[in-house]
Amino acid sequence: MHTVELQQVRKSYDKFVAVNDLSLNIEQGSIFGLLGPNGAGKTSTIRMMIGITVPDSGQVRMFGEPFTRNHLKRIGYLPETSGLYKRMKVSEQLVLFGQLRGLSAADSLARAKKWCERMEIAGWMEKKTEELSKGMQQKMQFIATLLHEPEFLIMDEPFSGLDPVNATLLKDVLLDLNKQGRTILFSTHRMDQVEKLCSSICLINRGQAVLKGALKEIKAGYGRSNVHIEYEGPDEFLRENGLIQSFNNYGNFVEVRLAPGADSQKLLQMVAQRSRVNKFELVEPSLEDIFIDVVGKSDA
Amino acid sequence: MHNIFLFARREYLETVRKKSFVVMTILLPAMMFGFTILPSMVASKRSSETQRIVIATSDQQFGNDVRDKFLKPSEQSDIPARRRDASTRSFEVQVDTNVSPDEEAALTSKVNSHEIDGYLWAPASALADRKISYRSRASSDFATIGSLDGALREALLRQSFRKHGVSAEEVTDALKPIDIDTKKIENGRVTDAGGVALFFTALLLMILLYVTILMYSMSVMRSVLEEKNSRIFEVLLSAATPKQLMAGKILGAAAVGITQIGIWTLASSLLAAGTISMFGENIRLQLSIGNMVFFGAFFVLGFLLYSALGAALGSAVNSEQEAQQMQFFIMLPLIISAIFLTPVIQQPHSALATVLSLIPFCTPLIMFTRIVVETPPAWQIGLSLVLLVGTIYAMLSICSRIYRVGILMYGKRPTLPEIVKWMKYA
Repeated sequence: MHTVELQQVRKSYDKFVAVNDLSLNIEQGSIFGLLGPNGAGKTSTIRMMIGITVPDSGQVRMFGEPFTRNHLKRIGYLPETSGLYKRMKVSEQLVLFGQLRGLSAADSLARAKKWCERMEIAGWMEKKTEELSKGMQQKMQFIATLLHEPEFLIMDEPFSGLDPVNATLLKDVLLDLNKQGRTILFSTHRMDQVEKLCSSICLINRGQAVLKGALKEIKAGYGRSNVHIEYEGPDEFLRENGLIQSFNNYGNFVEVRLAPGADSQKLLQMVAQRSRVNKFELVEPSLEDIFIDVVGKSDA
Repeated sequence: MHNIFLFARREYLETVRKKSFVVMTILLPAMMFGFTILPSMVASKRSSETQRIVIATSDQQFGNDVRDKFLKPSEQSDIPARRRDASTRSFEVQVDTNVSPDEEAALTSKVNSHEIDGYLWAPASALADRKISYRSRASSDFATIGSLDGALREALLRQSFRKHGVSAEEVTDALKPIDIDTKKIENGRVTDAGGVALFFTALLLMILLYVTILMYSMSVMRSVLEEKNSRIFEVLLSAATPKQLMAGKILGAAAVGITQIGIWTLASSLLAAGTISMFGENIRLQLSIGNMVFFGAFFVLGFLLYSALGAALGSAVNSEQEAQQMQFFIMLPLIISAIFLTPVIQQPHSALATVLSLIPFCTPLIMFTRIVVETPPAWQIGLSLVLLVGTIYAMLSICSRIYRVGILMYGKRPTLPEIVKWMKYA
């Protein structure tokens, strides 16, 4: 069953088309990545999913039925920018969010306490929200999203503002929730962050889906056409070389995308002639590489 | 309903806990006290010093008449309140029958050396021309000049009657003042409510309404703006509708207003400060139970209406600067109401008063004033209430729509089909 189905959904603001006839399905129990650069239409898509805005045309189906407000109690939404009342106490605010989702005050408080302990902000519950650091506020917002134990979690840039330790903490919680059978949607432009988490993705650019499907299949389609080279010496081999389609140079380390049909061994020989090679590795393209490739083609 | 209650409670608690609420609750009555009671207290304190005045006139009898009338203006009067100001101040008045130019110079130098406070220069020629001068260091002491004016008038009358051979008793009888006792007829019964007192009751309550409505509608506007800018709306709208959010916010603000008025009412009844002192006169505020009920009703409804207006403006603007420019639209109807208050009080049944009191944005102030001064026909009160409630509901719908559009549309105006869509949706 699909948790979410978008059918030919379209949203335009004045003359600007934010989402252009987008269709996608999110499998129940999956971790889905809605990926794309800034301004691609990710947040607009999410807003239509949860009824903050209404699509100009097309249909949103949630849990197998046409979307209604009643579905909201089964959805948790973590927005991109933190939306919290600054002067409210952390505990009061969490209780308010719980109550808005139909929980009793006592229930909300008990759950908030449990989650604050797990997210390591239990000591801050009686403080005002504005006294919390950005990272702590992000964790608090995250808790507010989870209190009513939603079946479907929408995470818009969940890791922004979090240090690696807290990002891992959040990721572990999300993986736990996914194991319990909850569907998770990640929306982000940081593709490296969710690459390891998602089972399927939809890449969007300028409001249109440019690539979608199971991540494994997408990557398999691209093959091991990327090479990581660690080298010392000149880098002329990167230029005017028929074997290389594109490259990303980081100084003494370069990521190379081979031209279609090019032999990686020939490239190794070429590089070894002029520079000292410390590492030469054939790798799967990263999501980012795939994205740049696809977007480059669709923009051309 | 549950969500509306949650939002209202949140709004209420946040505002009541703010320092500005506490400050306002204490400061506003303090300011009113400062503007009304304090000056008269200071004035009566200052006048406890004895003032020495000389009446220079060639007619001894005339001089005595002026002095007696000036010192005891209310002896023959039935209204002890009149000229109370002058009678509580203490004066020492001498009659000087020497009106030579030398004496004039001598008196002037006495005033200058603080030996006396002032002198009335009334030689026979001046009396004939009725051009008398009072010379003192404080030429703007209106209370003293007013008392002197009255005393002079009466003394001149007595002088003229004496010349025609009328006895002193007959003159006193003829000069007996008339007291116009204002009574208000309410529902066919004559009540005790008087004109001046009614005016000040209406004025005071009007100021109270004006200040609190203005203050809290601005506060609602800011609160909406804050939610917009901090993007809380995204979380809230994934759990509730804009209408619930707006209704909660407005009801919360109304609850704050009621609390504030409640505190003031309680405090003032504890202090039994139903009497205020203004222009040296004591005025007992007159407000029947019925009028108190109307005050409560118009206060709450006015509050709801202007809070909704504030919320609508808050949804439409994007920054505090824009909000400040928009404040004018909240103030305008209030200012119009304030400008027309005096004509409405004087002629509560005029076409102007009737029309103004039926315009919902003016109703809270104008209709309430009319009710206090002269109860309008029941249908007018009923109609104004219906219009007011209808407008509040319409404002709520409009502002929740502006809210949704204002935050999500990036400055784009909604088309009619879109509005219809939203209405169906919400």
